[in-house]
Amino acid sequence: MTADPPVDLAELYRTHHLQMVRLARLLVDDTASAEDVVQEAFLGMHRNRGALRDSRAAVGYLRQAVVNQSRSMLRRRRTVRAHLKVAEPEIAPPADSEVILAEEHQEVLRAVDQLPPRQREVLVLRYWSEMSEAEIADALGISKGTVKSQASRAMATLAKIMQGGETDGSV
Amino acid sequence: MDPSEQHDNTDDLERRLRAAFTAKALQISDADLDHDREDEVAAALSSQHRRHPGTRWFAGIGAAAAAAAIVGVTFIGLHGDGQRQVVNGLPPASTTASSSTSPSGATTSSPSSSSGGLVTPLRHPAYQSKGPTTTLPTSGDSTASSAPRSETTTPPEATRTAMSGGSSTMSTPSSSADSSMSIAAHQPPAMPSGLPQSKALDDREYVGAVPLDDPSGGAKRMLSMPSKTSWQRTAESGNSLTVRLTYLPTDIEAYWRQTLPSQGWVADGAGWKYPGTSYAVSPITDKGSFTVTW
Repeated sequence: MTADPPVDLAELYRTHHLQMVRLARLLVDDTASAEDVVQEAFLGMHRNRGALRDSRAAVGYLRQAVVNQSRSMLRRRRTVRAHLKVAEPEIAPPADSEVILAEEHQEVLRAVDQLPPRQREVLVLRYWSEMSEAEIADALGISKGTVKSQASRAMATLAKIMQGGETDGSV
Repeated sequence: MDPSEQHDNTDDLERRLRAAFTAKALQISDADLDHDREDEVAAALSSQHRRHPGTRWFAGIGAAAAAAAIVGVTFIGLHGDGQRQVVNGLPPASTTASSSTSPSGATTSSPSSSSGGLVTPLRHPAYQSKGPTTTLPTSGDSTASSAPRSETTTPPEATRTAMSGGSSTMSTPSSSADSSMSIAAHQPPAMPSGLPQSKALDDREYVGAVPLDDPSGGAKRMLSMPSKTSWQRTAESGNSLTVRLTYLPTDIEAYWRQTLPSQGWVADGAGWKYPGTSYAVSPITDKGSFTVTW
């Protein structure tokens, strides 16, 4: 039996940084915040590198860290937006963030933005990261059943929102 | 709607989701990223990675020393009579000298706060118009988690470097140095006396650490806050102070999880307490308030 090689975080960073920024961008909605999220995720892993023994699972830990950091970022934003009106301009997503996307994609993304954070995470991990229900359950720290129900509710809500959008144009 | 039609709709929605997520994600290319920041993070990660084998080597020496100590203690236990004869034969001065060295750590703890007090005044436009802002120290604020953790007893400020790009979310303490200094005091870090203490607070906005009174009447203590965090006093009593966060550049709960344990605080539910003292920090409410007690 051979010991697992140590996790090379620098190599993990080199190979997965961009992909993780893209994942974070889908969760937090602006690139600067996404970069903050990913940087914090890597440095968090770095601080806890003593506990990292399985290099094969490192990407999973990283993805989980990115999701958790994104959730923290959104929670922080909500607090700031609710109570600190003065700081809002700095943290609001850029006004032109969707400008160069096709209208069809914008419509879907606007609908996704209306979902609760947990449902949005499930959809992003399922349809962007192409993760299985079991992998999503691991990443979010919830049961497979919860993943399935959250995904189902999210899809139903999306369908309803988008049908409404097609009929009255107000998504 | 019949099942096959519903299935088709779901497939279509899935397809549209994939397409939309892909389109949005691919808006970011490698050229859009902050490469200065990337380089610094990569350097920090790789430098630590190279250090890892050395750390293991030292850990091995430590383990060997511990094992040798155990063998020695066991040997003394088995040959106690002989050892006592040797000890009895020693002059008394040798035992006195060994016991007098132990308290020395206490005096080294107080400077930890003065390093935290070196904070430049905040010039954040978000509250420039709200009147005078008082800057309080932020213990550990100027640290960066990218800085390789020192394995020596270098003072904290010497081990701290700032992360580029003004990313305040990356501020974390160099906990190895902080912990050795602060825990030795059995008190939260001291607040520099030249800065406003809790009794001197008014309704202005303050930036940085939250002052704590010291029940024993000695030096005032402080609760570390992330760099540039501002707050206002909302209530105050004889042994407590309630503040409301007015600007929060980072996840304060994550910051505290990284910073406070190294200063001797321990998590208490969603709040914090300082063992052996009455210092406590309440959980942050959904209105961004919390209370410190002493």
